[in-house]
Parts: sequence; C-alpha cells; structure tokens
Amino acid sequence: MNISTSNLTLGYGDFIVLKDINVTIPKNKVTILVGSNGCGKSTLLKTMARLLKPMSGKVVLGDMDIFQKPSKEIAKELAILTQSPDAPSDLTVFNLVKQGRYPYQSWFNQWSKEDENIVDYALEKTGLSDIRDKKLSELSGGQKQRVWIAMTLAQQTEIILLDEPTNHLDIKYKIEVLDLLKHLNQQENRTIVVVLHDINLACRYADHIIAIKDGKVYAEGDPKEIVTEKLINDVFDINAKIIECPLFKTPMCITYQNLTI
Amino acid sequence: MKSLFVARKGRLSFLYEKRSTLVVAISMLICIFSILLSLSMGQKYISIFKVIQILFDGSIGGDSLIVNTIRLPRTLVALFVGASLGLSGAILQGVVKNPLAAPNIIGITDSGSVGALIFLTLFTDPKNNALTTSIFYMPVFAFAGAFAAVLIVYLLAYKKGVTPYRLIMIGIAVAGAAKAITSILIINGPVVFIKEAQLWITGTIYGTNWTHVKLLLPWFLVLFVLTLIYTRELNIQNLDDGISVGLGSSVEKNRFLLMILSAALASGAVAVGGGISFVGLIAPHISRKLTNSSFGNVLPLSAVVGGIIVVISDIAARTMLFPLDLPVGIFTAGIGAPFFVYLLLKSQRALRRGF
Repeated sequence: MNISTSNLTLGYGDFIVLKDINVTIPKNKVTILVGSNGCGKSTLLKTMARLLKPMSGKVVLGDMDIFQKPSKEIAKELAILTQSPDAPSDLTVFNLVKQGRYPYQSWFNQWSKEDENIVDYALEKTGLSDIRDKKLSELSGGQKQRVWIAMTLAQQTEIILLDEPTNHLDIKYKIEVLDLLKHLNQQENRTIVVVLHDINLACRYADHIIAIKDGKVYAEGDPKEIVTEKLINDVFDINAKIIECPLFKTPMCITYQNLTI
Repeated sequence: MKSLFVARKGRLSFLYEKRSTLVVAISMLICIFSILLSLSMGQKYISIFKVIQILFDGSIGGDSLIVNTIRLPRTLVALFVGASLGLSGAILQGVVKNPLAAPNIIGITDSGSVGALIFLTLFTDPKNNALTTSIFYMPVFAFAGAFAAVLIVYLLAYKKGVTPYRLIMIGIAVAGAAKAITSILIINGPVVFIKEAQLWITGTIYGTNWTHVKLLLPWFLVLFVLTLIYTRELNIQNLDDGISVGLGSSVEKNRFLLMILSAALASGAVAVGGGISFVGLIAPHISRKLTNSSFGNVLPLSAVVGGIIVVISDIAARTMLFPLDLPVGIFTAGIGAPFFVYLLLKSQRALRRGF
C-alpha cells in the first residue's frame, strides 16, 4: 500500500501552513519528518492520516483519495499514533491494546480468536505480555508509549504514522521506542512515518528524511546524502558541523550558535 | 488468560472480565435485597419473608394491597429512575471525557424543571388552587424541556463538529439560563404552586403508581439495550479524538447518538422523578472504583448502583421522619455526597500507599 500527497495545501482558517506538497512515502521504509517548531510537520502527518481535512489537494492511499474511503477500511491499512495521547489511567494495558481491534469488530463480534491472537502478538512484540493486567497509572513513560504502539500494532496495518513518539521520554526510552519501530520495519516490512525533533536520532533511524521549511519540502532523501551543514542551517536556523557517527556511520550534527561560549 | 471469560459461537463473540462480572452480579443481589427492604418498610412493617410470599403467591389481603399497589410501583419507579440517571451519567462522562460530568451539568435537569413549571403555570387555576388538567401531563412537559435543552446545547456547541469542552461550557450556560427561568416562574406563579414546584425541583417520587412504571420501564429497557450495543463506541469516545478517528470510528456521529441516548435516559427519569441530584454523578464513579473505566463494566454497574441509591434513599425519605414523606432528592444528595467524599479520600489514601 502506497501513500502519497498531491498538491496538498494545509492550514487553519485563512492561515496557510503548507503549500502544494507533493511527497511519496517510500514503501517498507522508515521515513522521518523533520523541521523547526510550527513548520507543519505534524499537520502534514495528521492530514495523511485523515485527521485533518486539507484546504486543497489530495492524500492518496493505494489508488484512492483518503477522504473518499470509509474510515474503518483506512484503519485496517494505516494506523496513527497522535502526540501524547490520553486515556483513563485505570484502564489496564490489555484494555487499551485491544481497542486496536476496533476496526475489525462489530457489536456482536467483539472478541474473535483472531483478535485474541493479534493482541497477544502485539503485547509480546512490545514486551508487555508480563504486565498486561497492570493499570496505565502504574506504568513508566516508556512503557505507556509502548502500550500505545502496541495498540497501533493490533490494528495490523502496513503503514504506521507516529507524531513525536519520543516526546517527554528519557533518553533510554527514546532509544527503546525507536529501536522497536526500526525492528517493526525490518522484521515485518512495515512502512513507518515518524515526526521527530531530534535531527541526530532522525539521521540514525531514517531511511528517508523529509525536511520541511517555510511551508515547503526543503529536501528529501537518504540522510547520508541530504543532511548537510547548509540544510541544518536553513531548516533549523542554527550552525552545525557534520561528522560521521562512530557507531552507526550516519551523519551526526554538532550544533552551535557561536564558536565562543 | 485467567482473568477473562470469552464467549464465542459462530460469528458471535464477547469478552468479559471475570472479576467485574462478579461485581455486577453481587451488586444485583444487593439491588434485589434493597427492593425487598423497600417493600417491607413503611407505615406498616411487613417482614421480608411475607413480602416474598406476597410477590410469588399473589395472595390477597391487606398486606398484599400495600405491597402491590403502593410500595411496589413506587419502588420500581425509584429503581428505574436511579438506573436511568446512573446510566445517563456514565454515558455523558464518556462522551465529554470528564468524570465530573452529570446530566444536571449540561442543563438536562434544570430544563426539565422549566418544562414542569411551565406546565404548572399554564394549568394552575389560582382561584380554587387546583390544576385544570391531570397532573399526569406534567412528565410530558418535563421531558420536552429536558430534551430541548440537549438539542440547544448541541446546536450551540456545534462548530464544524462538537468538542467535549464546548459541550460542557455551553451546557453550564444553558443550565444557568434554565435556573433563571425557573426562578421567574416560581416568583410570578400563584402561591399554591410554590410547594409543588419546590418538591418537583428537589426530586420526588411521592405518589407514583403503576402508570408511571408503565411509562418508565419500556423507555428504560429500550435505551438500556441500545446503550449496551454502543458500549464499544463509548470506549472509543473516551480516548483522544485523534486516536478515535485513527481507529476508524465516526466520532462525531457516535458522539451525537450517545448524547441523545444519555439525554433520553435522563429526560425519562426527570419527567417521572423530578430533579433528583447526584445519582448521575456518583453512580458511574462508584462503578469505576469497583471495576475500571472500561464501559463494558461501567454501564451495567452504573444502572444497578444508580437504582440501589434511589431505592435506599426513598426508604429513608419515607421512614426517617415518618409520617413526613420527604422528597427523595434530599436523600440522594444527603447519602450520595458524603459517600462521594469518602470514596475520593479512600482512593487518595490508596494512591499514597502506592497501590
């Protein structure tokens, strides 16, 4: 299943955030959207997941305009995890993860064998099997985020979109979450699209980076090819020196305002 | 999975939490006991065994008359008024994602009062202090008032869809306006109806009979079944809107339908029982504390708990200051509010202990 945008213009009221965006998300790859605060990367992600209506243009999922498709059918092909979502804190891990099966269920078919197997799989994949009966209030930030990812996994979609999934997490959990996403991409060929703040982590985990600046796509491609000192300077408005990461051989940016502190 | 119970047959499949199902079963037993207690207590004490005998044998006699024509209909009205309010509150709390929501907060109760007072204003004959039409039409007016409130709230809150926040804010405004109208009607109304009006606003099921049961019971049952069908949607509504849409739910449509369900339940209860307060707020709370926020548990339990609260409050209302028959609304607030505080304190303590 391919997802792409054609001449997409997005905004709120009269205010245009992004204009004439044409991007194609590469299949079975990890794509990371980067840009400074308020550049519209989250808006773009939400629109691709049909959460926001564009002012003009289309999002094409498969061969259809996403707004022409029944929402439940989309939910079987594309999952979205919004930024820091909220749920009643006395729900158990299992209670929440099983909601991912919603698009496959009906009021008289609430828990098929398939639902059970897939929720078990999602819990196992995210390392939550042992704490499935714990309440959300008892979990750490990293565990909570894994619960949400497990819920999107239970949707069994080829495409997963995530809006800042590492926000407010300690560095340990940031890496844990991104490792999990990379793993899902490599082991199960899922197409993953992430909005991420941290350019260095983006370079490490992305197969494809889309950099957004002034309502347009500034550059897109393999981070090793497109991430340059000029790109960092233009997109993030900060000076940078780029070196090769000694561990992952990906670009690493050392950013600075002035050379004297 | 030891904690879960799965029922599957062909394309039908359901999932229950064992512990929560047990809680529902126990609360139903308590509910039955409170009904029997309500039938046995009053001006003349009839033992519970005798009550059971009368219910099943249908024996004729003085006690049978008291139970069957006076106490049973009133108890059933209490039960279904409470169940409707509990269920209505549970739905509303899910829709607006706020555990402090209740039917009276978004103006259902106050607008029901306006309806009832309009009825009293129109049909009281001040010359001979009597109604010019049957008091049985009052529920119709109350119902219309309550239901109109919800539609007004929804329409005013609508702006490319409805957000829970706007629903609450506009609901509070509509409730305030309804209170003002109530005051105007009471101040300008004939003296005789002030007592009647005040009773109604406090909430009373004094003098209810089988006609009220026949009105309320089918209304409640139909809405209860519809609510159970919508349990899944309510679980989804309780999550962030972005997540709900992502899961493929028609969030706006379901929000509207669930609000209508909640309003219809509360309107039915208000029409028969007046402005009985607190039940719609605390019944869902107690239910959540006893199980968890999953609406598969909260919905049936809220109905049962709401029923228990009003039945027991009505026992107190009839017997505590006998021969005075007080409005039941005094006791739902009187019993409900302290219990609510107790629950909050208890859960805070549990939290501090780290459970």
